[in-house]
Amino acid sequence: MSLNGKGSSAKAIEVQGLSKTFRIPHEVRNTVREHFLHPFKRASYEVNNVVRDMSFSIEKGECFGLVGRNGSGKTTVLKLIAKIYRADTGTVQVNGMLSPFIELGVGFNPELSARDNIFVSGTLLGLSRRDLEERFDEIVAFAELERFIDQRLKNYSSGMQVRLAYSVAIQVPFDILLLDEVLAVGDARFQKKCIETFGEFREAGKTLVLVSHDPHVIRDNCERAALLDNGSVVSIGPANEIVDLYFEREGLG
Amino acid sequence: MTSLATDVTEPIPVTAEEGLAARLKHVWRLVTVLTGMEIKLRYGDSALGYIWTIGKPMALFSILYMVFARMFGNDGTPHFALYLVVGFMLWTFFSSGVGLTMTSIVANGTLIRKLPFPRIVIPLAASLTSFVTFGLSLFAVAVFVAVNGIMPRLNWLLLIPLIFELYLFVLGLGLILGIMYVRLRDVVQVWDLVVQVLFFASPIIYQLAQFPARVQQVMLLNPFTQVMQDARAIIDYPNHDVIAAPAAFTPLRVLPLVIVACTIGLGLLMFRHEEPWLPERV
Repeated sequence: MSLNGKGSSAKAIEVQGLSKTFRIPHEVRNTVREHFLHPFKRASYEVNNVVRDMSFSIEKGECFGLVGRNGSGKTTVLKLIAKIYRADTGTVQVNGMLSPFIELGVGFNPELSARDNIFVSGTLLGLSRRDLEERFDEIVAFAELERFIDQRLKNYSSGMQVRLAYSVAIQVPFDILLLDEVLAVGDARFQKKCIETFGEFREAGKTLVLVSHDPHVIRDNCERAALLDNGSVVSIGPANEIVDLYFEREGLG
Repeated sequence: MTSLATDVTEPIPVTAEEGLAARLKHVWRLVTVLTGMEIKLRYGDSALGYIWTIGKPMALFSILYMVFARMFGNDGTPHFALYLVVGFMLWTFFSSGVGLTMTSIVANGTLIRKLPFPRIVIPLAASLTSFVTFGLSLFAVAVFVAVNGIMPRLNWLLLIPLIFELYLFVLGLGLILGIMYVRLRDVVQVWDLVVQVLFFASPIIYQLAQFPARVQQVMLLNPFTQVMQDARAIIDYPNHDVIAAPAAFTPLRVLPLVIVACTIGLGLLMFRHEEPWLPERV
């Protein structure tokens, strides 16, 4: 049952013919001196098609996985869905509020304490000060970082930072949660806790998009998945079949 | 099952706020939080903390006063110390404000690459951080005003639009240079040089009145110089002649305002144009 009663057939995310290219300069001409030395030389660049004509849709309330090698376009797709990048062609339709957790976090400042970072990130994600004050204890408790809350982020281990970032991301009211490698650096205890929250979100009818280069995470948590390779969707289907296909293609099956 | 952090069954539609008013509220909330954190980053950890925000300009002004008003002797300008303090305070706001705003976009690249939010809050917060520091340094100015025995007057309220004009100039320059800085990392070096030149090209530690009238008019085309001279004239009105702010209205008086309007317009335009591409370019 979907949250706003539109019927369970409504799509949470609809991606149509999505393409994204990055221009990668052959020689980085970032300084005035280089521009003066070669004023008429046109900056040559390589076009890197990170996402090529992708189409897929994600149902409301499902857990959808994206698998693929490093550099296959997983994070770029998430950034396109989150409207962080602008697509070259194609459309992304998102029905519902979205909370992004991309590149292992929500953009913490290493010089600020965990307490201050919660307020900055929470505000950037759309929470008011009062919302944050109400949820502050829960955020800290879930991350299990009560003892370290006034330490600066630069003294946190990467696992602790991810724990905190995940705790903040899930405190934002959302219908769709984008999770990029959330389980990659947390310890076993935190992984278990995360997976428990996945279950709760599913029960509440939330949509999860899970990106991982670890296919087991996808197989264990998602119904459906897409295998990406070199910016294109190779196949979409039941998560276990997609994961098998991935192993097969990598010669690990 | 362990207790979970979020009440997943009761979504509170906080980010669902739509409409211009809600978006402006969100922008304002972000700007205030980011400004507060920026100030905290600067002073929060030092032993003397926020005392530095007032202590530093006080110390600087005292040195200026010693060097220029006592050592070189005062060439007859009444309240020369105040003249220096006002000029120097405005200069510090201008130069550090532009510098901080122009680097803010690149400095906050991590945030821009990871989260979707109105990017304008980054340069806005940076310029406001400089503005708050400037506001605190006004306490130091108040001391000099009191020492010079000047009583506050009602026309000091005219300082508010003047300072607003300077703020817009700072923000506009910061946006233009900041967008250029994303693509061309030399901009900071060039700006450092320009700041040095501008410092001596503006009548901060010397007097405008020593130049021929024609030269004065040209120098007053610089919005910074115009704001500074007008501010000095307002604070210490009897010295109007020394300050040499052109009393009569001339078409030239409008030009600095036009320059400020063009600067902020161009800055906002450039920012809007570049905003969608910032996450992949910073």
